[in-house]
Parts: sequence; structure tokens; C-alpha cells
Amino acid sequence: MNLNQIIFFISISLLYRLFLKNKWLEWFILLISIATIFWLQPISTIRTLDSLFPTLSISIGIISWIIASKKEGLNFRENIITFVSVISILLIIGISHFIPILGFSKFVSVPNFIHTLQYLIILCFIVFTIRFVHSKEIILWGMIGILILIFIILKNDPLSYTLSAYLRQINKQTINLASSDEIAWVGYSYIAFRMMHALIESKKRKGLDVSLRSYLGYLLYFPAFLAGPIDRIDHFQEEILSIKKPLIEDLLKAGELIAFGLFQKFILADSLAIISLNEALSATITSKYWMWFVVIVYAFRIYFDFNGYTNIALGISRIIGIQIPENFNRPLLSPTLTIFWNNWHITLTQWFRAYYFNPMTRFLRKKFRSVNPHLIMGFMQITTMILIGLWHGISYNFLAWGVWNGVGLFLQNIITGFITRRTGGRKPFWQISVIYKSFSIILTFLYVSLGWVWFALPTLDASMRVFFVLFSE
Amino acid sequence: MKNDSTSSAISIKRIIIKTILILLIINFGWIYLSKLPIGEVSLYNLFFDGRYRLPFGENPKRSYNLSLYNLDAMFASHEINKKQADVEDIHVVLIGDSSIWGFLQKPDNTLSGLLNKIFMGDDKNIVFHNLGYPSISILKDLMVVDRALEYNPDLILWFITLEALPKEKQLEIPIIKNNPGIVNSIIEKYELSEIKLIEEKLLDNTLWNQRRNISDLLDLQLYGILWDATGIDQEYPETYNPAQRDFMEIIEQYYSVNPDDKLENFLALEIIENVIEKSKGTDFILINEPILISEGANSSVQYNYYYPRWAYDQYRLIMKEYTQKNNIKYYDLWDLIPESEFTNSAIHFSEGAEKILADKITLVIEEYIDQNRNNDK
Repeated sequence: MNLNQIIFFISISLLYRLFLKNKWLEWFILLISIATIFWLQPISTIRTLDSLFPTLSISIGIISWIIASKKEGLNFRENIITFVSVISILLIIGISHFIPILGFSKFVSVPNFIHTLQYLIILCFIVFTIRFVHSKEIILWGMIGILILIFIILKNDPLSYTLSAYLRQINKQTINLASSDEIAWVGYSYIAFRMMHALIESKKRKGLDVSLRSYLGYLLYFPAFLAGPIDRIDHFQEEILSIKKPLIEDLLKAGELIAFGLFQKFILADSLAIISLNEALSATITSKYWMWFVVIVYAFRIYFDFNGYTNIALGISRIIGIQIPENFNRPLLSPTLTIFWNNWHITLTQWFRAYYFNPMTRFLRKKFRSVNPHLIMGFMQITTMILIGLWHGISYNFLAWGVWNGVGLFLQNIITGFITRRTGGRKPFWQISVIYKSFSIILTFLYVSLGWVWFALPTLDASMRVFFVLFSE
Repeated sequence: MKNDSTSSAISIKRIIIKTILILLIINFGWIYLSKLPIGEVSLYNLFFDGRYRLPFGENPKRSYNLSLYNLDAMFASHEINKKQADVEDIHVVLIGDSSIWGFLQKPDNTLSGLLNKIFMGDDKNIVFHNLGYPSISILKDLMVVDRALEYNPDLILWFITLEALPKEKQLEIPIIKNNPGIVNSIIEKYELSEIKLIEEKLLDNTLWNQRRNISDLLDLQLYGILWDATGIDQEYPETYNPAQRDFMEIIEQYYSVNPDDKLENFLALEIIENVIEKSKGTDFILINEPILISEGANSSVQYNYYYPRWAYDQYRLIMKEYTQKNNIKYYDLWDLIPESEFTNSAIHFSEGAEKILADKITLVIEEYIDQNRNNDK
């Protein structure tokens, strides 16, 4: 999001809060979120792709709602109204291709009307089919499988490239210009994670008691669309239905969050971006002191950048009166890696803990009772961090980043376990001292900073060169 | 409940009014703050090395350098601002355009870099400072010379070319346009009658209007770190478009001057004589910088992209007579560099050209030193 977009979201949220009643909240979120996904989707050189992705986001949202929602007890009329409204919005956006409504097509990627109609017919067919299939479990896991498959295609360069070439071919465009960069589905990562959360929860609870309007609002929620946090659906629903805090309280808190976020993102992070580790610097810096400098600056930069965006999202959401979860809790002051990863991108870590780490650990410990639990724990920590790494992109560097952090967590657990056994669970005096705590914070920070070397650079060679310079004589 | 919402509304109003007032005070207060020499506050020469040439860069992310208009900051970031270790050294300042700044050349391969290498360890202890700047204007040169004089250089080598002299272009250069206060004070100080004063607008200095310049000041400090860490201060493309050598379309006019006109009347020569006259204590040597002499199509009427032959030939004669009349030391090196040794412009030198020019300037410097010795005796 750029500054103009942020100002727009602040203004529109303020207008809602000042002039509309709470009963319009779900409609407001839904309409603005749909407009947002079309607005934020970058223009693609592949014909119709920039409108296809937002349309698909909404479509798979509707399909996953059909799968995840309870069949009984839902207000049929209300959901039909929402469904027809969403379809109408898409058609209006499609028609605006021919009849520019207030120059709408200048601001958002406008799909071709005929294409929109085709998508919608297919969507209605899928929706109709799923509604009457009795074995929901197969469809549920099938849906999760499709979401992961799309994820793999989007995050893997060769596969994205192949898709780009294929789409160019069917659009009768030059295949030679195909590029993986063309396949940019904005917001998919977060939408997919929210959808998978909803689907798995629906399986646990035998269907979710959520309306289509509320569900789509949750999936596409505009303040958190680009950079999270990944809220839980029940928490989001509670927030929608809760009695709002006094306006002045919300606005003051929102102002504080937004001002802090803007400062972090546009002043601190953007300034540090100039002097933080990147591919060009990794190849040109020969002094180890300067290399340490740019590596450490990168750690601060990525924190201020991400936390800045999160604070802005929290602030905009607070204007509307919805409190979405915090994503960071002073991670740079963490004395151990475990605490660091509990405080960094909290909602993503919680997601992986809930849907991968905990169930898988339970399963492995049951299945392999003879295997040392520390080994199982180590295996799970490493694979969890690898999966989080691959979530950012499927490449060797993100894999290495995952291994680095996973191994770090594993070693830290072994060392902590060893000390605990030796001291009988009591903390020795030196562990309570300020010096020890400071040393732990610095050590954790340095380990995480070195891990970012894998994350910041595109190739293993570039990363290895940085490590070589860092530890050269 | 109603009371609560009324007091909420009053509080919001108060907050909004106070915020707007504070923003207005800061915004307009900056007009007065901007008169302070904020640009002189610099980390260069303190935490990291000063730059070998004035900051200039069109693609900061690649060149680790950027163009800005704050003269204080530009000089504060330059190595000339470093406290000189040995005051006995002879300090020579090079003034000129992008050719002297060293477009496409690494700092060590620029003219000043090569001269420093040649005279390094020499018993004469001569230090050369590159104060070239990539825009061609004699008024811009004057602005730099005026500031350079504060560092008490012993000698100024002033490289000029015809393109720097037309009166009509002097106020069109961005660095001139963006420094109306400095330019006007210079016009008055050097009694320049042919250049108009620039209108200064007070509102140009509000915080809102100066936000770009403030951001540039901060970025200059940040890029200083990268300059110190990498030694890179310019983008070095692997390929570039070579300077134009064939001229399919002949342009007879030079600016608004026709071949029948008297070129001298259109040139801001007054600047040179006034500066030299008012800068006693510093020696000046004027050098007509080398240009590309094309051998391509229609080169019989056009030397290069900038110059029709008639205009440039006339200019050389004018300069010869002008410097003789005003007793200014002058070297005409216009044809020193072979055609093949120019890069992407008719005034940009290759590494080989820089060496040829450095060798020639070495002789000029040695002659200058010999003359000074003789004068001392």
C-alpha cells in the first residue's frame, strides 16, 4: 500500500464511523474490500489476468463458504441477497469496461464483461454442485489441496513461468515475453491461510455458523488484505457483533497506531532500506564491518517495514471499531529464539502451530513412541520453519532460512533442557542477571539477523558470499 | 449517553483544531528555519569518508549517490571539507562540467584522481579536488567557485566550453533555479550586469514545499554509508549509446545565434573576468576543455551534437582574444583527445582520454609551479 491508498482507507473508514450506523458494518466491509482487491491488483501484461485474480479471490471465497458453513440455521434470504449483490458488483465492474462509471476503470483492473459472465456461470455451477454433494469431507480436503496447489504455483518461479507462458498462449500473446513476475495474485497468501483456517475449523465444529457476507468480509478484510494479520474467524465475528468502544477512544488509539505505523514504514523502514543488505551490496561490499552493518540494518528494516504496515492495518481497522490481533510483540528484545518466534508475525506462527506443529507432533509421538521426543520435537521445529520459509516463496534460499531457524530452535531447546536438568529446574543466579539477559537478547538478535541473509538474497551463492565476508579474517 | 457523545464530539473538534494549528506553525515556521545552514550538518568526513566529487546521481539505488540542490550539504559531503592535515600542501581545485566530474569513470580514473596519483608522494605536495558538476553553465561554475574560495585554494583550474556560456541558458539550470538566494547574492557580489536576479518566493520554503529537499539531505547521509562501504558513487552501465557522430539534419543556428550574428554578444563572458578580478589570492587557469571532433556524416559543418563548426570556431577566437585582453592564463585543449576516446557524449572522456588530459594538465601544473618559483625568487 502506498501513502495515497492508506489515506483513502483512513478517510473512507472515518466516513463510515462518523455517518453510518453499526448495522451497515458488514456491508461496508464487503463493498470496500471487493473494491480494494480490484484496486490493489497490479496491472498485468497478460490480458484479463489483473481482473481474473480478484474475481477468483471472490469466487473461491464463495465456494469455500459453501463448504465451511453449516447447512442448517443460516438465514437463506440474507445469504442469497449477499450472493446476488456480490455477483452484481462483479457484473457492474465488468460493464464499466464499456460504460465508464465515474472513471472507475481508471482506478481498478476492470474485467471484460463477457469474461465476467463466463466466470460467474461456472461459479454458480460449482456452488450449485457443492451444495448438493453429501460427502463434505472430500470436498473440504479437495479445496484445501487446491488452495495449496495454487500456492505452490504462485510461489515457485518455474511453475509461475509455465503458467505465464500458458496464459499468454491462450490469449494469443507473445510467449517469449512470459515471466514468473506476471503471475502476481495480490493478497492470495493471506486469503488462502484464512480460508484454510475456516475450512479446518468447520471440520472440527461440523460447520461454521457464519453468513456469506460476514465470511467474505473476513477473508477479504481490506485493512489486513495485503500484509495480515491472519485473524481467527470467530474472533473477527465477535468483533463485528461487539458493542463498539466510544468513538473518541477508538480514534485516539487508531491515530496513535497509524502515526506510529507511518513513521515506522515510511521514515524508518524506507530510510533503512537504502543501507540494508541487498543483492547489489552483497556483491560489492568487501569489508566485514560494513557487511555486519548492512546485515544488522536489514533486521531492523524488515521489522519496521512489517510492523509499520501491521500498525497501519490495526489503526485503520480500529477506526471502523474492529480490533484485529497484534502481529508483533517487541520481538527484537527476545532473549531466546522460541520467544522471538512467539513474538514475530504472531498470527502466522499461531496458524502453523495450530494446524501443523501441534497435530503433527501429537501424531508422530503416538506413532513413534520409541523415538526420543527431543528428536521428534527437533524434526517438527525444523519442518515448521521450513514451511514458514516456503510460504514466502519456494526457493533454496527460503528453504535455507527455514533450516537455519529450525536448527536454531532445536539447538536452543537442547541447551535449555540441559541447563534445566543440571540446575534441577531452578534458575541459577547468573541467568537472572541483567548481563546474561542482555547477552541472550544480543545473541538471539544476531542469530536471527544472520538468518535474514538467506531471506534477503535471491541465491545461495550470494548468501554464502555474505557469510564468507562476515567471517573472513 | 447524549452527554457522552457531545463531549466526545467536542474533544474530537479540539484535537483536530490543535493538530491543524500545530501543523501550520511547523509548516510556516520552517521558512525561518530553512535559513539556517542545516546542510552543513553532515556525517561525511566524520564517520565516513568525504566524496571525491560533488553528489550527483540520477539513479540513487544503483549509484549510491543522488542529485540535490543544497550547496551546503553538497560541499559538506565532499572531501574538500575535511580538515586539511598539512596546510603546506598546494591545493588545486578543478571546476567544470560532467567531463571534469568524470561521467562513467571511477573516482580514481577521473582527471583529479589521475592527477592526485601522478603528484602523490611528489615533493611538491599538490592535492587536487574535483569540484566539477554535471551541468554545463558558467553561472553554476561561479556558484561552485565562490564556495570553493572559502577553502582558500592556491589554484583553480577552470574548464570551460562554449555550451556553458550562452546568457540565455544560465538561469535554466536546475541547481541555479533551486538556489535563488545564493544565485542572487552571487550576482550582486560579482556585479554581474548581464544576468537577471531570480524571483524568490517565500512560500517555496515551507516545510511542505521543502519536504523533497529535506528527504534528500537525509538520503545523502545514508548513501554516504554505501559510498564508504563500496567506493561506488556512480552507476557504471555495461553498455551505453556512443556520442552522436553522424548528423543527418544540419542545424545552422546555435541557440538564438545565427552565423551572421556576433557570437560574443550572446556569451556571459563577464562572469569570468569579474570572478578572477574579485578573487585575489587565488590563481586561475582557464582551460578550453577537449571536445569530440566528429568524422561522420556532415561533420564538415557540425563538430558534434552541441556545436556547429562556425559557432565553435568563432568561440575559440573570442576566447583567445578575451583572455589575452584580460590577462588570464588560458590553454585551448579543444582537439587534444582523438574521436575514438569519447564515450556517451561529445564531452565525456574514456579512461584513455582522461590519461591523455591528465598528462597534459601535469605539464600545465609544472609550468605553473616553475613560474611561481621564478616569481618568488
